[in-house]
Amino acid sequence: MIELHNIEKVYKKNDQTIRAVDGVNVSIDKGAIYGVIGFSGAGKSTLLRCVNLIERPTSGEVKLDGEDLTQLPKSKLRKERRRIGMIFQHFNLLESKTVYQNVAFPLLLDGQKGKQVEGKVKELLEFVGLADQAGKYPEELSGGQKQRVGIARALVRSPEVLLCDEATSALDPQTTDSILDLLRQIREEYHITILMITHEMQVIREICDRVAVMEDGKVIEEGTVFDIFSSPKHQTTKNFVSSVMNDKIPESILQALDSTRHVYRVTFLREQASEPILYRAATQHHVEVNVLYGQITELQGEPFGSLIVEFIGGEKEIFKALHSIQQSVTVKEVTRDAS
Amino acid sequence: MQVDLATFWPKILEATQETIVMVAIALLFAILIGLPLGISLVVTRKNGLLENGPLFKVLNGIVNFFRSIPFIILLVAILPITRFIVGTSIGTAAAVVPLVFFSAPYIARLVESSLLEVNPGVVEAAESMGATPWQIIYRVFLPEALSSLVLNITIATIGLVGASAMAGFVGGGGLGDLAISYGYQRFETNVMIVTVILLVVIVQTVQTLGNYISKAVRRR
Repeated sequence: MIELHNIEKVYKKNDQTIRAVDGVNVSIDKGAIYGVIGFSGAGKSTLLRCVNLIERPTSGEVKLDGEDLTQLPKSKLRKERRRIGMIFQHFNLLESKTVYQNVAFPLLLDGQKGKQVEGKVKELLEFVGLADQAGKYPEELSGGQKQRVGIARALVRSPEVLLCDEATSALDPQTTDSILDLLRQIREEYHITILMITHEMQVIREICDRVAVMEDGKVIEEGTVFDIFSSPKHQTTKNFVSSVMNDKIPESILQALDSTRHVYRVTFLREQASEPILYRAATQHHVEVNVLYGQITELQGEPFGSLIVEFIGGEKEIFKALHSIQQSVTVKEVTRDAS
Repeated sequence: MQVDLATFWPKILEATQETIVMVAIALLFAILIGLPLGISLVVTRKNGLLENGPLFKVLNGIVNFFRSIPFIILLVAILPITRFIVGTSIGTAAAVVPLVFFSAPYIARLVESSLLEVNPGVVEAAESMGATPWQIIYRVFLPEALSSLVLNITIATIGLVGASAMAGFVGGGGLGDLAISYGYQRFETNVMIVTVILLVVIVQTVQTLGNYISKAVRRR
């Protein structure tokens, strides 16, 4: 659906060259919710704006269904932008227009009038739960309501792609959850591909299928949310994961480790979690298992567990037990120096 | 020797009328020129909608040039232009031309500052929707800045009332002229007081009206 090839964005500021985006390649499948996470200044916001060319990349290709948007003349590009809705951290609603007029605004730009506009706007206000607020002005709304107006406005032309620029960063946790629910609903009902940038790992955890971690303009790690959460490789990624997972092994446990003990991190997802895998392996191979630490949380609405488990028994038996567990879950040895 | 205000009254009425007509016509033309000029200053600047460095520099230079000439000098300096435009260099019509030259660049600056207050995020949102630059100007910039524009045009109007006092130099008439020629030069204190009171009333009315309209267009 969306393919970004070698995107580079270079700024010149006071004789300094700033590489905001430095050779990014991203491929997003139709209907996916794709997250880009990074600290502020990582270049994710610039990258997002390169997708609808509000920021023109210095070099690289932006392909939407195989068509390179960077090659289009301005008028054609404007037409293509109708296929891409966008919502913003600070909502960016027209203050001088009512909720209804804000949602109708993109249609007004297209020169549409009358019953059709009214039907579409009402449908979307209904969808975002603001049907009774149509006559209000943005300044009379709460942050969450403003974002709902933003979402309705972005969807009014039935786009195929929705770009979310830190859409929940200005909202409190509860409102964030309700907006994320709404985004999930959008994917289900409208089959829209969503690209979102954020600095909040719980947003990624809640709704993304895949995630790219950005630092200094580059994508340093990319993969399914499960992979990133279960085995983050880069230190920055680890920091993001532990910001929501609390999966750092406590010092007390690390201190007690030595080469004679067999301690492993076991991560699992979904139905794996419902099976007594550890118990079965233990009884089958005659080893004892002892859960030292860990937690089970939700990843995209599915249970996701990360446990620190000690295996006690003969070397051979433990090896066999691990082997059988590895068929269905991810297992990694824990040593004292590497957490 | 004081004039009798009772017999002088028609003259004052006529002068009031002249002031209002002069200001109104000058304001109309100044807005017609100043508004597009102000919009151009915003859209051609760096990172503007239609960034155009050379054009911005030229427009900016023109505005600064006219803004730096004192009105009394402008009045005389552009006499040939006045004669070319209205066919005469004296009278109320002749006073309107320099007033427009004086006020239009001022309004351009005020429009510029009003439009620069518009949230750039909203402009970005409109761009993301595929709005054309023209649509962004009249669907985003102007409605979003309307309240502020009204207040700024009020300021410009009051500036025009002040400047119109000097129109007497080209026989433009008006309250200011009356105050100078009778009140100041002939020491007619009564006339001076009455004209000043009338000018105060006009300014107060314009400001009150401006505040009211600005508030009314500011949504609720």
